[in-house]
Amino acid sequence: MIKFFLMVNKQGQTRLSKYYEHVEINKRTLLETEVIKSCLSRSSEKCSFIEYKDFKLIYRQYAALFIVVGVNDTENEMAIYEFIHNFVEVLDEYFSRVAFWWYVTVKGENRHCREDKHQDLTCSPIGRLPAPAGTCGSCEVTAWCVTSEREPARRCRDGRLRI
Amino acid sequence: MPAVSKGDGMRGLAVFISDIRNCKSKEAEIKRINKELANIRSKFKGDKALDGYSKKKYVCKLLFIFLLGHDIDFGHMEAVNLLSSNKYTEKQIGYLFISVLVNSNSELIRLINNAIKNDLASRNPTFMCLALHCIANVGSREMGEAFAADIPRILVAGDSMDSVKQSAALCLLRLYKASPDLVPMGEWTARVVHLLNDQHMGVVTAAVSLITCLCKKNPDDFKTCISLAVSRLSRIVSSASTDLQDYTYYFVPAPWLSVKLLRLLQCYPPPEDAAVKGRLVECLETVLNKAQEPPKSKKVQHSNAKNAILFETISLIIHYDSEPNLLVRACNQLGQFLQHRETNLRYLALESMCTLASSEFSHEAVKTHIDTVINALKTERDVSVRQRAADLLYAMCDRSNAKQIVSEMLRYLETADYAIREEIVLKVAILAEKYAVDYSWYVDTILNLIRIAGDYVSEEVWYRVLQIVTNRDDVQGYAAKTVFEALQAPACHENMVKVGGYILGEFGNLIAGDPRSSPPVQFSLLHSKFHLCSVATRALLLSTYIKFINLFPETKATIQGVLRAGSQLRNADVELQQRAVEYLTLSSVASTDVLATVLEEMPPFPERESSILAKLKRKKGPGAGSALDDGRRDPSSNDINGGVEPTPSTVSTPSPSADLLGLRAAPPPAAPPAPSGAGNLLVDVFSDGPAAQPGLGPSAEEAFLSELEPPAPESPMALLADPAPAADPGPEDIGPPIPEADELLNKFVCKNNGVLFENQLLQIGVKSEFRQNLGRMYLFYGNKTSVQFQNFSPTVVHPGDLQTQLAVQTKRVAAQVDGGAQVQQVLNIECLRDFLTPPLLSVRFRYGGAPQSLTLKLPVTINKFFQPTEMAAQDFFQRWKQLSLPQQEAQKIFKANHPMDAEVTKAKLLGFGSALLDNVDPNPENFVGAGIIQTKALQVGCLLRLEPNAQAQMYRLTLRTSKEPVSRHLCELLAQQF
Repeated sequence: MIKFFLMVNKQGQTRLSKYYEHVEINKRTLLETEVIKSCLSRSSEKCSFIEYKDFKLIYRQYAALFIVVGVNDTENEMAIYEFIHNFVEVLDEYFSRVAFWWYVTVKGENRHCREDKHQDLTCSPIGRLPAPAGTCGSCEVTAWCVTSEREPARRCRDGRLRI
Repeated sequence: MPAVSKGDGMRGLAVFISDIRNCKSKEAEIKRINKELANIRSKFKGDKALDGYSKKKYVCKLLFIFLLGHDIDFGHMEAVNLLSSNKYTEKQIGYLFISVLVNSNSELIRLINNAIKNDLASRNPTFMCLALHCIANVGSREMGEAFAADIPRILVAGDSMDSVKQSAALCLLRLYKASPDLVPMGEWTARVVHLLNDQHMGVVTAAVSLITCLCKKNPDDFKTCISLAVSRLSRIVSSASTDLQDYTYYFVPAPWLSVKLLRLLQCYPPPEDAAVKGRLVECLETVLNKAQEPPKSKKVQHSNAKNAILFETISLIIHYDSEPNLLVRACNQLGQFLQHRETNLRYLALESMCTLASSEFSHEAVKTHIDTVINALKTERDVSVRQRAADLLYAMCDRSNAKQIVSEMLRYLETADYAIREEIVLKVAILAEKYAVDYSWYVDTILNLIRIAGDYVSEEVWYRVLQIVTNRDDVQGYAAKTVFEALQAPACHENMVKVGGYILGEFGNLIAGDPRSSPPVQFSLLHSKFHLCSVATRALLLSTYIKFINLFPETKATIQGVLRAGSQLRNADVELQQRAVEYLTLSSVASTDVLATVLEEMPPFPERESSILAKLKRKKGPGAGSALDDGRRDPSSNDINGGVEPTPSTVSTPSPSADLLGLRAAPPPAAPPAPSGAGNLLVDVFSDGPAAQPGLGPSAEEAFLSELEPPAPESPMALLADPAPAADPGPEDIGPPIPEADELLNKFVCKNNGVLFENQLLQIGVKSEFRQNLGRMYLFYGNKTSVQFQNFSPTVVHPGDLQTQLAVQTKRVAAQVDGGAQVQQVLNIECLRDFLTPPLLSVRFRYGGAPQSLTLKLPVTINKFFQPTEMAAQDFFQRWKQLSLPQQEAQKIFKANHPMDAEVTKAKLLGFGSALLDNVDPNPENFVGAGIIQTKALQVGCLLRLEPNAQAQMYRLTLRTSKEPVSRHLCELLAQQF
């Protein structure tokens, strides 16, 4: 079972976090800091799974962005690992050149963003999408993130995400 | 679903966002935002009613501002208004705002719920989905209460669209996880299972997630899902790589759905239906076969998805643990991954193999990979992979490869990461103990552990080696020699000094014959370490010294000199000072005989669960249990290495020697020999103290640890160091039981509560309860006088070899009992094996200056551990016949001492502990009973028959048990009752 989903930049700032179990806000900050630290300190030859307290972290790196998923120990690591990639692909198809855009967003433009608002899907890259299309899409992606149990859908032929 | 066109305006929003992005400073940004907020506020407050488009635009801006990190305190109402719009985009923005920003503001929640309700009832699939997503996103209890009943209906309704069903399933799952009590089970559950057959893969995926979660609570309600899941899985696995279109991921059909289905099947045992099982096995084989086929794509995504299914398949195979063929194939597959160039695969293969190792079918197959795993431990660059390799080595270890694995782990320990050193140390210690064939190897291994990683050797580890050495005389000499050699290293770890100190103190005499390790050499070697050690170790060493005085009288002068030195006698540390003072006095006051008794070798420790194992379990959490418990596979190991067998007793160690000096009782330093002979039990360091309750598990272990924490309780001579109040005098100290003791005891054979003893001074009440082989007894001592009792000390004594049969643990009672007051003492009793004589209770106190003493028989008789057994007449006679050997039967014909009343007899027999069986004996006047005597070591089945003869006022009592003494003893006990 997925416990939380984090997107973190190389500077260690949380860009998106979503919890599927209740965690107190102040504990989240602590948890995120530690999680990020353990991911950032790893070189590429190390495996993508980290045991952390009573759960496992599974992470992937895309340019300057880390996606970290915390799961309990019954979860299939490989399935989650590939799920992250599928997630990125979906975002990429939906928003096009997501990776680049993330890079820009994360590197350049979030300088004023207040840290304490990361507790939800709020300060997400999706939320910062400038175009209306993005805002519309966010609802669908939000729902998709929230439920987490969904089989990551591929794009339909009509070019929209299947929800 | 309405298309979202990019041309759908909101230019104002785009302009605002680009303004923000162009801001050069935080101040400028705030300024721009404040301007916008003022603008929006005036629009919302304005007279002109806003159209849907404007509302949407402003709500979007507010949302954006919120996402930038600014608080928003208005606009909620407008967002709620958007919910009732008929335009998809407006409704959607409304829901987005609400999902992100609304907390349980009661007034708004009512409006929101109303809007959601309307949308759920709207039959417009898009609106229904939006509403369901909102419920899932917010997921609050209020929303759950409002909608939990509606969602199952939508989920199983025949006319719901696929997308709605899917959203409903996920929404329900979310609500169920948040508050399970809100989701009503009912008729819909059966229909949910059938969603596994749905045409739409999205619906199936969502349904599997939901069912997997629900079936954990009510497995039987969802049992039908097994066959549906199997057939679904079979269709996916056998489909061509393009059949599933949207759900094919890099040529792998529905990988995540497959994983979920396999996971669902792991909630149940293997299918009972042979056809279903056959089909499933076929699926599993197909997956294993596919892993061997050349990949359909070179992309890493393809192989990742395929491997995800493969690993889940292997988990299922391990879960079933019934198909040797599949288990071995799985093991071979994992073996290939062990050498894969992808670190992730190596990691996962090691992890899965660890569980495979505990299956009897694949244990051997796993063992063939030992070299690869050892190599991984040495060369793997990632610590988490090395950790997995160490886990796997631990799991695959058995008698055949223990030496190799232990030596490899020891070698690894020298370079191991600090983070996992302690765990490796524990594992090595456990393996060495569990698979030790000769104990010299064990001692070598542990000493090596201390040498290599002394800092990580926890107390449990070195306590354990002492326990084992003390309990096995065949290894003591070797141990003494080895520690002596180890101590000669110029720098040795403090733990080594502790072990060395203890072992030489106990068994140094075994190597004293060799001039190289003569007593003075031993002493000076130990003493050369003394000044570098911590207080606890020094305290231990002082105890070693006093033991030396006993072992080697020739060292007496030297050691007394050391003790007398100012640095000891006036040591700032009170523990050290006290030990020095007491030991010095002891050595000069006591005669050789007394010394020899007081400082005798420690008695063997009671066998108990290895505290190391408990510690490792604690470290690893409950999940690690399976791999650790595999010792049960090899029951013979327990005989040789008794420590593995959990032993729930902390038996008070019998005291072969009384504390003739009572040093503790009297104020140091000038302790005159206490004439009272109030003995102190030689409580052993590991199981001392009343706090150590019988029982397993961390709590007991922790109690045991905390017990050890006070400074320097490691003293081998707990009699001096341990303030244990459990003052058990040796058997020779107490007087014979009072004449009435037997009679008093008989009163309690058939009852558990009552007054055990009473005279003018004292009343002793008993309240006890017994379950299986354990019992707890409360003794109430009432002072009937108006004068305080002093030095009040009730103790329990085991005459003869009772101590091996019955463990009685007492708790401290206050030494003073005020006039008219009552004190309570709790006794924890464990029956280890059958016993004949009851323990003695000796009560001593001073009343008005005059010592009083009293010895009673504690009302603990073997029948207290009776467990009644109901059985039919047929069974009874069959067993009766089985126990037909003459020595198994005991019979007594005796005259009735009491009026012969059937009801009273019945009550007595029930009180005695056996079950009364009706309709067994053809004569209804007769009584027939059956029961099992529960002891720790064995169970004794017991059948009895009592035939009253009213005319002759006689009884005939017949007992048959599987043990001769038990038959006779029970017969005697019971005969006295009638």
